[in-house]
Amino acid sequence: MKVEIRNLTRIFQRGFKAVDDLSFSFSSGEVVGFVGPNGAGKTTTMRILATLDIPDSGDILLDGKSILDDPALAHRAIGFMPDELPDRTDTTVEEYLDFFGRAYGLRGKALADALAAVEDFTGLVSFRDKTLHELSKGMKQRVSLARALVHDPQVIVMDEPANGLDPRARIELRELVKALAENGKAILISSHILSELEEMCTTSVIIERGRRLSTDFEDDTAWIRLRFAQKEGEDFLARLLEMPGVKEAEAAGNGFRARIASGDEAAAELAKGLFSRGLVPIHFASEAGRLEDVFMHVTKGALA
Amino acid sequence: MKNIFSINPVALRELRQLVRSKIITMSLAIFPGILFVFTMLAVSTAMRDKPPEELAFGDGLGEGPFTMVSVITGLVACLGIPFYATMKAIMETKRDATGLEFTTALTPANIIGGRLAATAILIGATVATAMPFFIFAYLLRGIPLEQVFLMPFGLFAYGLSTFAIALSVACRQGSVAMKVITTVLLFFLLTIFSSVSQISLMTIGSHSETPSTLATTTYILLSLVATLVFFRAYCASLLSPPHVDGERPFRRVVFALFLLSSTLAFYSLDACNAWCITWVSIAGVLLIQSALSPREIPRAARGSAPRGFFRRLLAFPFTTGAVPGMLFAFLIIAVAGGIFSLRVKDGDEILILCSVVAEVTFAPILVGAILRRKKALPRTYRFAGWIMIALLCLVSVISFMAEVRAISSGAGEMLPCNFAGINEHPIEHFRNYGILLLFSVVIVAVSSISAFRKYRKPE
Repeated sequence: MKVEIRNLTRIFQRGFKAVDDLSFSFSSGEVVGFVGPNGAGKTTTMRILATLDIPDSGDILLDGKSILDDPALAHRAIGFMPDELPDRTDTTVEEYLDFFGRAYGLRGKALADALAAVEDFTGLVSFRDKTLHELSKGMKQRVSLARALVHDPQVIVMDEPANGLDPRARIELRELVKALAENGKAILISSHILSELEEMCTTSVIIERGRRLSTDFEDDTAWIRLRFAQKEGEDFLARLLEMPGVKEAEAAGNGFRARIASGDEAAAELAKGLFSRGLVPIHFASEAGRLEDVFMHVTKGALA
Repeated sequence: MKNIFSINPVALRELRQLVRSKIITMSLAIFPGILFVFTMLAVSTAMRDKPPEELAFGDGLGEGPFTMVSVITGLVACLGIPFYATMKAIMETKRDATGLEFTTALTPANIIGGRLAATAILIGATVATAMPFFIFAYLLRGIPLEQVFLMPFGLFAYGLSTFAIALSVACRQGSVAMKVITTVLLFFLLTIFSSVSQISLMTIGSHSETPSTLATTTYILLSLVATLVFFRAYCASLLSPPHVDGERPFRRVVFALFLLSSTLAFYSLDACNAWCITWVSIAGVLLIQSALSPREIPRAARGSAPRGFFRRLLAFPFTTGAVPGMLFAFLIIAVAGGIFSLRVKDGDEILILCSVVAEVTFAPILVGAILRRKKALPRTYRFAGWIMIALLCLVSVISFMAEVRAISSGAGEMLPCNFAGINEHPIEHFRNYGILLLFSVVIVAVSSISAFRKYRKPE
């Protein structure tokens, strides 16, 4: 299934443009990171996708069909996972999922099979009889995901799913997202944790003040993080800059960062240079901060 | 029962939550005990000063226990349960702020219907629990059999109608604190103005065997059904999610219905008649209208409009609910004609006073509330509506003063509740009828033209 967001604009009261002529698309098997600062228009866009809001102009097409003209199409095809978690003392996990299964029109065996499938996929089988209030935040997040999946949608929209989760729950969520993408779902996911997104997303869309920012800039460099057994002094930065291929260097934590040309060859050249000068690093790794770099680069102008 | 619940997931969810509610389970467990204790107290009080021969052959002891059971059941079914259910709905609207139900196949009508169904079952269970005590009171003699069945049915209808009204508060936009305050005030007003009148009228109606008072009882029950149906539709319109088209003919027609009902009240110039006509009209018209009119029109309905102007003109009424609107206009006139032809000769002070109070307070509040919904109605309606409210208030107050003057001067048997009087002046009757017809056609025509202008041309 292909999702096309075309020239979407949403204007709130007093002319505030939450979303401004936003366009992008994604397809089955893709995980799109939807990135932007607070108030950038991410949630508004996602709510429009879920038919919880309507745009002032523009359209959203699912396989070429407008969800504005046919909201039921979106209800069938899209599973929406908001950033708010379910929390009730009088509803069990099973009952919560059962309600939404029925609300999507599932009955009888189809409903039972759907509930069993999502509970199994999200690891909720042993929690089905607990009330929502008894669950941890990570488990509530799983319930929210199970709810979004109960009608087997082709598109999944996740608004800040990793918000407030502990590291273990984040890793588990990441694995679930990867598994969903492997099953052919098209996934749009927003998060503030860019390193998280980078690990699970195939592409990313960066927005700010409702507008999509261009990510088409040349950046053929990468940061290498270095640490040595002996603490090096400030003058080491000057020595580091003399190494082959190093374009920029700075102190970082209890070590250093060096910007070199991207690619394995440049990294190997730097390692060779260090060894040849008798500098043996105990930590030598490239930083997984590509998305962060891009984000900082493209939002720099607008934030200033 | 399983099939009923499978139709509406909201009802099933609500019932599951009610079962887990400690307040509800404890109340249902204690309720029969309270009824038992107070019934026994009422019986012992009634027996205290009566000789044995009167106990065996007299008028019976049923009235005291019956009143006691009615009052306790009424408090629980008509106030306690609706209040609890409304508070629960208010808290849930805050909690489920994202409106996830609207991302499913559920419609606003499903959601409201589900809540009403769950509350109906709870009220039904309460009234059913009280039934053995009502029958016990009947066996003690002094209570007509029909009253034993009429009272539980009335309490059920009244309790459910009350909840439907209060649910509209929960469905509105606004802060939780404001909704809670509004609900408390609403229940206070309903308790004072409505429950007293409704229940006392039903009691009066069943005591008397004259056809006119039985007819009055029927009117009141019909008015409760009308209230229920109207507020079900109104709540659904308040809940309508953004993906539903803003052009909502059902809401427009419901408003027009109120407007015309108020017109009828205005033309009647008699509070009792006005009240009956208003509510009986609403009952009949809404039931049919709700069956005919598409409640929510997706944008696709306008987007798929034919290209040619004349073809669009022909297709428009059938896609936007204008045909049901026209039907409504003619139907309301037919219903009004039928009501005018009724002959209810006797009057009753309580009936008149309560109905006038209800008319003065209830109708303007409702119409005003609908009018304040800025997006709800075309501007033409709002303007006409405010004028109508002003007239309605004026006429109601004048009528009220007239009734009070008539009662205080001891007008006697023939209080001014005179359908018959209207029928004695057929020319006036037909003149009023004609003006009403004209007004209806103008209203529907204006709204139809307004809607047609918005009927989108295909791109």
